[in-house]
Amino acid sequence: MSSRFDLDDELFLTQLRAVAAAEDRVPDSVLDFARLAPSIVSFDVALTEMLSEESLGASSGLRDNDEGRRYRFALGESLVSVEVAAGLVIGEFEDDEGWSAQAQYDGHAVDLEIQEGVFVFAPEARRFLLRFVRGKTQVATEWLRS
Amino acid sequence: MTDVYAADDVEALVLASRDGNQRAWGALVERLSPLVWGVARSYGLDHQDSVDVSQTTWLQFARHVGSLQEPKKAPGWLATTARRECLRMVKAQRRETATSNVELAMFGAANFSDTDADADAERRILWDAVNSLQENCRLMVRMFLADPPPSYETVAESLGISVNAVGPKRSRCLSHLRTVLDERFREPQEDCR
Repeated sequence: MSSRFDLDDELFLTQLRAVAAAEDRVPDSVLDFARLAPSIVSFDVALTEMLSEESLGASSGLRDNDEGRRYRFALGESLVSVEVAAGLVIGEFEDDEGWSAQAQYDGHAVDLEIQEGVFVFAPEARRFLLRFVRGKTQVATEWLRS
Repeated sequence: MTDVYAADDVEALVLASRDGNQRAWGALVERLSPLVWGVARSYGLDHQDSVDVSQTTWLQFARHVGSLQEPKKAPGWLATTARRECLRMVKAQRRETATSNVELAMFGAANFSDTDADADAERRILWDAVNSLQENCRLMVRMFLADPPPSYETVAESLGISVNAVGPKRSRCLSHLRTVLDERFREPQEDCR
């Protein structure tokens, strides 16, 4: 019986592959994520090491883009988004239920004012980290640069 | 001098990636993403779940690339990990929804955007036929649809079969697919007459 498809397996696969390439390409979101995967892992490892050193109840943070200007940190089941711009840091809690925030510099820390789940401050130094506290739970970020 | 980034030498790319070479990592992503994506799609997951499986697989690979004992087996590692992630997700979905219908999800898996009705119908028939294959056949066909296709060793490792069995099994799966497609393409044509 004749077939409209090539009887040679390799040629048949080539026919199918052409359809797959046109119709079911790997999405850009997968490719972009995969390209960034090593930096995400590095960041996770650094954060995990820091958190484990400080015995904090934290999970992980993800960098939003190549430039590393936007971060998200998991706070238990909640999240805080942090945007680090030139001379300014803006943070927003997804769920502001009793979290306090501190900017930690080399040698000293500054409490941050939180209004309606948002904190904004101008870093006193280029290098700082953020510490979030609620009850006995503390979460610290990696060292960030403004 | 050979350009390692254009070469088929996965082992060289893995070794360079371990040293933090971003171009090598990027080349690995370009080369092996179609394989990972094909495995994810073979399990009938919807588009977003397939994205999640693929991303999780690449994240796992980034975590473990430094400890792979045989770097040349990275494609097999990725395919196997993607398969495990798919099974985990399918199980979770079955738990969540007692009436979960994987076949239904598979039927709607391909995202057709072409406005040409005939071409659209043909592609639906094609994907439907691929998705109607038994699990191992479906997985094998989807893996071989990746461009570039995986080696027999990679497929064997992913499916847990011997390398020698890959060729005959692939031939049987494609023969079955060819038959299914011929039947399905014949039906609508007869209906139209």
